[in-house]
Amino acid sequence: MSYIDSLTNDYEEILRLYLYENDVDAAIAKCHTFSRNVIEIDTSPEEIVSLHTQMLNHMHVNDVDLVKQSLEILEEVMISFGFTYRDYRAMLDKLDLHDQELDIAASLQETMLKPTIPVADTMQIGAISIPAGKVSGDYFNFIHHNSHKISFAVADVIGKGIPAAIAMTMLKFGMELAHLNKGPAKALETLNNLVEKNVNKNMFITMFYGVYDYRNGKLTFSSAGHEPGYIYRYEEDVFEEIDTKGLVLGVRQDNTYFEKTVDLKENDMIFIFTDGVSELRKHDETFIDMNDIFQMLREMKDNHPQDTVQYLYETLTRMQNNLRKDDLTMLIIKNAKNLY
Amino acid sequence: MNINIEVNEKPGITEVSIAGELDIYTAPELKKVFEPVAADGTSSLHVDLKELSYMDSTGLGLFVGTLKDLNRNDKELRVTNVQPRIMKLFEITGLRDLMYITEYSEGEEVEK
Repeated sequence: MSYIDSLTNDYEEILRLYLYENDVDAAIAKCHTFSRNVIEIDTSPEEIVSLHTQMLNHMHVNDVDLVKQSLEILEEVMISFGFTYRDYRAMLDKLDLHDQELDIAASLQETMLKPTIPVADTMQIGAISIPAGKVSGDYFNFIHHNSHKISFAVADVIGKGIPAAIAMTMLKFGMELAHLNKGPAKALETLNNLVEKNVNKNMFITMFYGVYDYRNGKLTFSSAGHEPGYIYRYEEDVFEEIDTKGLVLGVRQDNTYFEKTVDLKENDMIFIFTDGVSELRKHDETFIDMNDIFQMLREMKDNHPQDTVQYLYETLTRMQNNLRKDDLTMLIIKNAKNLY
Repeated sequence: MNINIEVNEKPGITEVSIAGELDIYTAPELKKVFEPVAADGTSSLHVDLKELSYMDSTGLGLFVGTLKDLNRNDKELRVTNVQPRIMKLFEITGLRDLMYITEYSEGEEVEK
């Protein structure tokens, strides 16, 4: 017996209980189960009305009073349809509102939060940041100071939508205000206090903050719980991890951060990214191996970093399990001192 | 992408075991368990993650929020039997230093 047949039998049973056995309670209880079941399989209201007519014929219900009574059962089923329809409308309205909120956040990211990539003869920069959905939880920013230095940051904000966009705006202005001469660790300390006061308790931000001097190739950096970055040493063909092990932003007031300094030689590259890269899930659900990414970087070591990040992005997207998509952000700064 | 949560109430301690995956989709379910315990402030929270295979940053955020609430009431958050891959997350983010946390190792619990 098919499911439809069994539903037809259920309806016959309901009518029998109601019309001939006067067992109203049992009939109504069964009626609710029946309604739930038919709605679940996407039965339309007109199909139910037609089933009702069929059943009356099938059961030879000809008496006008009985037919009238039977309509009470039909009404009961239709009420359930009405409820479902209203729930559905309410959900649509909610989705609409949610969509509007995402649109606002997305346009904020498109306009106000879009960074300008600094240009100088002695360095090349590649940057890419692609959200998994409409809005990103990833953020990156550059500030070009007049003194042959740039500040840069890559951040991952937990949460999405308007709260995340607001947090990013805070990061942007916090970075502008952070005093260059005080260095990345002090900048993170300032940002941490700002974030801690202004985000909800389940939210935090990971951030890698660097100051790069493109005249002498000196990088000073500090990390607030962000994925470690790497320096690719061109001559030695090795990757060096760069990290300072600090707490994520927004968890504890007055947290202290540390900084380190490294020197980049000609053609060396700084590679910073978010966990959308290092925690990428492949089609078979396994995680990506950092060595695969290193291999891609090696292949591209003589290209412009913008081409490299583009190539990496395209390759990674192909490897990625679409159900596990995350925001992807990568940033490469190359010491191109002697190219000119 | 599923989560299974078991709760065991003891005097002064709420024990929670989590199995499956904790991510942006399943975190709301765990939040319903954590939040009342943390807000109530009368018991500490002991969480066993032995059967948890994956956690994303939303999951981590839930632990951060819960820790803040518990600390405000002088209550403790204990996280035990954490799988190495998830432990790495607690380590990178520096959150490991803020709570009592142990890593899972074949058959026994190792305190670090």
